[in-house]
Amino acid sequence: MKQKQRRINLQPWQDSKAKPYIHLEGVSKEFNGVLAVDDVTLSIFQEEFFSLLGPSGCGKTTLLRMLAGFEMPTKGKIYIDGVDVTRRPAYDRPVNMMFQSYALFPHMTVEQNIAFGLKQERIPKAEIQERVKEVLKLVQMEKYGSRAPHQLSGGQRQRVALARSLVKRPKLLLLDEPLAALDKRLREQTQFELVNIQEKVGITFIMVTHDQEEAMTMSTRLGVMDHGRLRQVATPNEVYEYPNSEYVADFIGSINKFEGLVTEVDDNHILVDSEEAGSELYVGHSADAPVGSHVKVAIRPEKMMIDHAAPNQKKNVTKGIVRDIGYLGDVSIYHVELKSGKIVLATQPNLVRLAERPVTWDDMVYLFWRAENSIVLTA
Amino acid sequence: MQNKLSPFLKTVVTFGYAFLYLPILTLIIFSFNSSRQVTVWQGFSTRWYTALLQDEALLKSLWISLQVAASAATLAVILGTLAAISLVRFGRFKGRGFFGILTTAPMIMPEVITGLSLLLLFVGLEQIIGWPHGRGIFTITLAHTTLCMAYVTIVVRGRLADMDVSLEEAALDLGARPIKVFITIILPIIFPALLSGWLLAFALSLDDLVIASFVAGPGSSTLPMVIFSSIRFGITPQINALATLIITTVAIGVMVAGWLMHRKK
Repeated sequence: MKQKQRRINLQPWQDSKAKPYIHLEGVSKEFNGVLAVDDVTLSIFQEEFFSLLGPSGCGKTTLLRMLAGFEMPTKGKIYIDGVDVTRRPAYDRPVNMMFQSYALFPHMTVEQNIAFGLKQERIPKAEIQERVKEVLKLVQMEKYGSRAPHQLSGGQRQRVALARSLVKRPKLLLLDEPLAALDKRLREQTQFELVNIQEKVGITFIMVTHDQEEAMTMSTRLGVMDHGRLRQVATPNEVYEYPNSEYVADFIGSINKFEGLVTEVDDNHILVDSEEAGSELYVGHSADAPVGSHVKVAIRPEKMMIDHAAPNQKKNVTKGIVRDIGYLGDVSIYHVELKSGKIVLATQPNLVRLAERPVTWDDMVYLFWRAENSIVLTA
Repeated sequence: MQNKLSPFLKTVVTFGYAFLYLPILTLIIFSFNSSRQVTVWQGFSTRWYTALLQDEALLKSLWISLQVAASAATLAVILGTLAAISLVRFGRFKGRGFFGILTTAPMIMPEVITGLSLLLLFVGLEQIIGWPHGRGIFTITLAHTTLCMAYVTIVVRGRLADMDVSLEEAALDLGARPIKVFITIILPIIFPALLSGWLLAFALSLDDLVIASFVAGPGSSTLPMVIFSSIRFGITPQINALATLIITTVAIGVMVAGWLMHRKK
């Protein structure tokens, strides 16, 4: 949704000649016989804002900690800018991290906190002062340099933590749930600020989050993780519109799925007979599913159209009874029960006011969608 | 305000504090008594303070006690902090539970047993390797260190466990080596615990009679030993004067420490 020109142009993963900036090669991590991260191979490019998304315990934080140098991989290699850093300790990597708890040193002022990293590099005092000032300005905290961390609000602490991790100009900045401690309104505002700052400094960001909305809004690409494995790595748009598995489809947003049997396969469509949907499903693109195989056809609720009158199409149509309506203000979610007993969700924008809404409880309605808007899930 | 205490509670509290502090108050008052009798008030005088300053045996034992307490407290803080760090920060190493019990055991061990076993150890060591040579201030200091270290370990351990591990990780991440992290991040944050651990150890050592009696040698009697042995010949108000001085010093020390820690926050 943050669509700046540069950002659109930045798609190095589509260029086969582009050199990855961060590269993980078959990285695994075992804790007491349990695989927390399982054979992850991943390339991230310069200036990307990459998100690792997944439920808690999926291994995303462990992966981040291996990049930071707090955990050593059991197997595999990690390269940053072409250099193998797999065995390097945290203090010897061109990587900085912003912690979920912010981890500001309580016995130091804001300025001292930010200067700490520069002092370790034995940079002259005058330059340290200048760089601290510069980064405080970047996060709009110039006035708070002499405050102690406990005198700051949550949002201000978050800025200081960001400033402290940026001031060393790392090749890679890691963010561990950077916005989790903020309230909702502040979080939304900070999302855009963080993206703006990232574009300004041009540092590669890798963020860990369990909040799909956050990952979708901020990232150039995201990786969905489950049980230590990367399930899909793609742009937010691709992950949402073309999830490669049921797991990813379910994790990001909600989705309707119909089981069925493939009856016809072509280069640009698939025909699926689904008893559950009570209709023949016509999917407008190909998938790796031979005739006779069982697949699931998935359609996002907002791609479903709902009407009393039968639509002018024979395929991708089903009907049912409205059982429930979730009113969210801007949109309403209709829960429609099909003949097979399956509940299908359809989201419609509330173009007219509530009282004038044409479709209401216990109405018999038709649900239909365009062939291009459904996808076939084989995994 | 529902802050009023019930009459019953008031009585209990009054009696409780009276029970604790009246004897000390009496002791302070009688240190200014001109009579030789400890129990009969005759008039105000500072003669016992003068006498105290001339009692060389008592002053010498006080000096020994202070020396022992200061060095034992310092050693205990160093060792106790190391023990606490290894218990809290080094993960679940083999024998961690056992090590934890071992470090805190002297706290629950009867002092008689600690004293006796240490005496046997010192005697045995002297016979085998010729060290420590005889018993005296040095052996008392060692014995008190083992006792105090247990308390320091517990105090520092609690503070370390409360400290957010990501503070250390953040410092490492910003390029500080582990030693530097310890000096610039961990030490300042756990400093209040080190200070209170030191004061606790100092007080424990100053107070100890039993262990010191076992491991002391000729010419190394600590203050509690001298006071205790003087009871047999009847207490002189000099002891009251000394106790008053110690209480005053401790009270001032605690107030200063409290003020310093409060100001830091």
